[in-house]
Amino acid sequence: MIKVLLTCFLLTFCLLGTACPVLMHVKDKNGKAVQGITIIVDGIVKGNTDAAGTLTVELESGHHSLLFRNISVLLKQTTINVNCKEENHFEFELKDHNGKSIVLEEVTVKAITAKELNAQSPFSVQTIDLKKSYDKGGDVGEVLNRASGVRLRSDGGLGAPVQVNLGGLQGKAVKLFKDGIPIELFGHGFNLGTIPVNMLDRVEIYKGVMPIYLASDALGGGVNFVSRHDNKNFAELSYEVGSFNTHRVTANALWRNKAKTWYLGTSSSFNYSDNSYTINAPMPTSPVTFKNVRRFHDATNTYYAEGYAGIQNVAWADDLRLTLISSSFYKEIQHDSQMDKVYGDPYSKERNYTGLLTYKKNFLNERLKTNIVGTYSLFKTKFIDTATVRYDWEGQIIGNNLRPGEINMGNNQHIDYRFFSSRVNLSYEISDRHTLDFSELYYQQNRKGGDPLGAISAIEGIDVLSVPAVYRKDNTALGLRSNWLGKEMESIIAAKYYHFKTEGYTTDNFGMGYRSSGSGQSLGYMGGLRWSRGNYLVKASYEYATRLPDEYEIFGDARLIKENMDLKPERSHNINLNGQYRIENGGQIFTFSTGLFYRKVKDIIFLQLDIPFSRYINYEQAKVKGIELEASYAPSRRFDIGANATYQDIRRIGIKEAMFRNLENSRVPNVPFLFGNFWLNYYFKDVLNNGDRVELNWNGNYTHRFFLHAIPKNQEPGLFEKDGNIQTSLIIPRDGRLGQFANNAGVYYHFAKPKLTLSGECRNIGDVKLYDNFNIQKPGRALYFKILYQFF
Amino acid sequence: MMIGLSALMVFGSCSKNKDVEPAPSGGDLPANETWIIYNANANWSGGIYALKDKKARELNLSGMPFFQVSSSLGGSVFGKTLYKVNSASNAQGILKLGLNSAGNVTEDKFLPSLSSAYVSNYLVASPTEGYYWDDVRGGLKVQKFNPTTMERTGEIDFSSLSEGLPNESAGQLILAKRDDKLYVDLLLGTKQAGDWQVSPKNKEVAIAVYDLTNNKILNVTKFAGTTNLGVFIDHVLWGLDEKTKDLYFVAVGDMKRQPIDYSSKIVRIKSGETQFDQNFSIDIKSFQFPAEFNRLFVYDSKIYTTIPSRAVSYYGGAQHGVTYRSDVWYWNEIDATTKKAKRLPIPADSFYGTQNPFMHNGEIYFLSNNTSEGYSGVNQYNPATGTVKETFHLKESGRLNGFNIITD
Repeated sequence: MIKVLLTCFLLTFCLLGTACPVLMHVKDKNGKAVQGITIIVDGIVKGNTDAAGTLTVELESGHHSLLFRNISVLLKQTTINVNCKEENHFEFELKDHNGKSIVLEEVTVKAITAKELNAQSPFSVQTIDLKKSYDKGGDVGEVLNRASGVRLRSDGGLGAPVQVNLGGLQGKAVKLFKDGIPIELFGHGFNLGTIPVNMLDRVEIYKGVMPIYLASDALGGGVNFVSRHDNKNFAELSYEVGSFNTHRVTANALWRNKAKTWYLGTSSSFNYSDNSYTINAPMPTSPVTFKNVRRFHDATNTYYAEGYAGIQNVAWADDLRLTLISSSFYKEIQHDSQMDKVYGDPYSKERNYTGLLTYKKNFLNERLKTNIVGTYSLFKTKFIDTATVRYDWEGQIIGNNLRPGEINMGNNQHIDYRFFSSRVNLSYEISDRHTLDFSELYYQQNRKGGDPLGAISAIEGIDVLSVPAVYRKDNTALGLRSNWLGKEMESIIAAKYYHFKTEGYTTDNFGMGYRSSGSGQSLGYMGGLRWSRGNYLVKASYEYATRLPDEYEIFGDARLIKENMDLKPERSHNINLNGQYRIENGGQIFTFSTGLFYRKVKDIIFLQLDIPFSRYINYEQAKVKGIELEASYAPSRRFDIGANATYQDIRRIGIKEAMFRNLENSRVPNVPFLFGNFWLNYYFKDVLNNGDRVELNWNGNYTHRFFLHAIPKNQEPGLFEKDGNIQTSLIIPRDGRLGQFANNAGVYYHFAKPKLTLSGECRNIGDVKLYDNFNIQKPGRALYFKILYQFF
Repeated sequence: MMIGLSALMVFGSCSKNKDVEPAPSGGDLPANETWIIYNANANWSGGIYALKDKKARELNLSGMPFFQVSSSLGGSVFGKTLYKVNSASNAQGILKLGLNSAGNVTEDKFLPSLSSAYVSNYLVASPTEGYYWDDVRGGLKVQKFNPTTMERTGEIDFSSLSEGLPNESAGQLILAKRDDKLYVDLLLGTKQAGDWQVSPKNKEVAIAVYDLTNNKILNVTKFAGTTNLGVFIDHVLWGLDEKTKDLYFVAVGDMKRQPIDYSSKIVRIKSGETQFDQNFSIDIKSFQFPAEFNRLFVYDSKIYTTIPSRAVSYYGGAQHGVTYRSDVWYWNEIDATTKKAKRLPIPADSFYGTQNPFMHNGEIYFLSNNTSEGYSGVNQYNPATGTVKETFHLKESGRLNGFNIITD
């Protein structure tokens, strides 16, 4: 049904009339171009005049009424007659109310930033503006980790797997995007553990309820990394060097021709680290002793090269961009998921080639906005674990001539993936108050490979990876945005449709192999409301969210993880309630915000561990109740301070098997439930030369201890109690601390001329033992230096 | 601010529930016994409980102290000391546990394995004599350790038995001691890609017998018609008949292909012998096929094991639940002389727990987890009278993956 409606919706667009470009030129009585004048055509804001006093809009033939405003002051009102068979160029001279020509001495135009725009949406969204963070070292994960309600967890240093916990849900429940495209299509060279902040304009964190333009099967929200789209030409190079032989290079540049009709650019990075930080590791003595050793097989080497070229501001396209990406990811594997086992040889490698074509165009007097993206990616991956030797934590070989494979039963895996994805976003302004939004995401993955040491079907002896597997999904969303009470209130309602289909190789009860397929579909819906007046902002949003099982969960690895063709989507009721209070008094700004969130998740996909096969099943249900608080205070433009805290009560509910009901209402284990951050920034100006700027930064974060495995609710220790009547060492951290506190500091010097920034950072100043995942130690104290140079 | 206040109300429920339902009393239960119970959650994590005063016929473990482990697959008791495969966090090795003054289970010492895989079989023969297998130290070597200090003390080298095959082991799955002799499985073969088990070069099983007094390999005895002695490291598939002193072993066969000519069998080495009794074997085909024997306890020439009520395949199906992990495993008593089986009136088991039956005070104790009935409990069988009674069952307290009794 929804498909039919969507088709009708699209057809309606096609039947509507066509428009032509209209150039308007605004000047004062001296003939001087006037910048920043808002032009409203037929009651619709079309934009502001540029430095040349011009604005080009798309209008249909016929009469149109025009209003010229400077902020809230009406400067001129007139009509024009557009004839699309001719060139349409109109000159306007601004006059005051008495009919006298006016001169605008100074016009200050403050455009609404994307961050402000997001804040005004009904969604529970947090936007981190990175434009002032290009001098910061590290990757975007460190910035993201300081947001309220967000906790990133990694297995170690640069390049280590990172997963996002958002509103109590994590892993595959939280989807990541780059400019609205699923991030996995950009390869491992572009992931949370490797993306330098220089490559991004901002990060948008959607908590629980996803906007329509990101139509995706995200159960617990998503993070959209938005690339830099600067308005002026620039070229920038940065180099960072740090502890553990870490090196990062970024290159970003954009060049447009004067007429701004075409452009070229790049956004590229290179990362390398030995990740050779010291850990306290168990020695193979009896009984066990511990020793400080350096990690010896954890190096990461990645590059991400993106080049793009585009045409813009032409009659048939506002922007048409071709992007070509090549990336590479090499990662040595040092240990297992709990750091109980040490490895010395296995590694994974990936080469990725991606092409993207983006088309943007506004039609129908700017009422219809289109944004279409198509991508094609080829991934060539390797996972090699063929060693017949074994290592200890000091990197010494302690065993020879053993079965191949340190991790499992050996892998010499080569898999090629081919991805095709497309996204269509349409937005149509029905009236001044109502806008209809449509989004469609199509995603297809083809897998084929081989592993001579891997999964061989029992009867036919077929290498299961050599049989092509296909996974397709499409997500469609249709919604209506409306403004009420002027613009004091905004509402959104939407329906979403999810569908997947997969084909692969499976085996029956007798070990016979055959090709099999599975599919599923689901409906979701959402709604949101935002009200703002004066210093207050209140939002409420709800989504019945879905996450489709992916190809790996359905087919497994055909080796240790068996297929499950009956896997159903995960579903969740997500509710958010947000409030913000902001006071500006003179130069002082105080902001307090809070968010309540509730999730009720069913059919959680759970890896049922077993020998010789594990498999994914729909098993658990969970309920999440959480609160996040954030306060910030800036007494002047030179100083600001802030803190946030999140508590999330994540509990298992509705346990079906009677024998496991001892865990009813128990906390979902291995998820941080209490954490927070603080920050303090101080700025100096004109230190060595006029225009120079210095920033001092100190920030820290705290994560309360959490348990690796479930504990019955009535035996849970209180928040600040010891273990109670259970004897467990399976706590994170496991050394008796009630929580982990780490703090970082940085100093950043910005030279006005040349445009150079030098920065130094010390992370984990206290050299505290830090763990995100059980027993896996993160880096201790580390120093980083960065130089950022802007050529123009 | 209102939101913050309402949040406080919402999360007021975060305080702990201190109300613990008292377990029913077990007045008829011996006061000098401590029950060691290993329960497990769906992901195999769980706890080890020690119950002395709180023993009851129906046990709700909720609220009782426990020692938490990542992999709760049961363990063994030697005197008042517990041993289990792998550490609390599942690091490879052997963990020694004890009871503290409050009677709760506590960690004592850990003997790490060099191996990074789930392969470290062990045997505690006395407080000072133990054996384990560690592939990194050599597949054809059995390691010696002191179970009191948990220190490795040496090794026994079976390398002279090598035939130069890719996968060779001695003692990986069978480490049995009778009198002054050590009986270890000898497996010389190749592990095929994607297989769990090693396929032997010769379709037979072999036991190497080692003389602990004279420190030498006495002989290698072989039995044809089946393959693969034992299956998991903490799943003991040998048993010593304490009355006849006959030593029994389970050969599970090739569990992936389940060949009919080399089906699972129970074989034995009679008292005083170091060679297989070539005249004796019990074939699973006599009762069910395809299937395997997967539990073993022997007393007075009566073999106690499980026989499935229908054909099963360990590798078949989307998961074990389709076949192998179903409630199909019935406890049976097989007469070693007549080879006739008698089903015991004990709830069928699902093979999530792998512990063998054991004898205590003249009665044999059997563990059962029955998913469809929601039953996890222990039943005791008196071989003299033929009566069965329930020892206890768990009430909403996880799966029962191990049970031991310690007597004061």
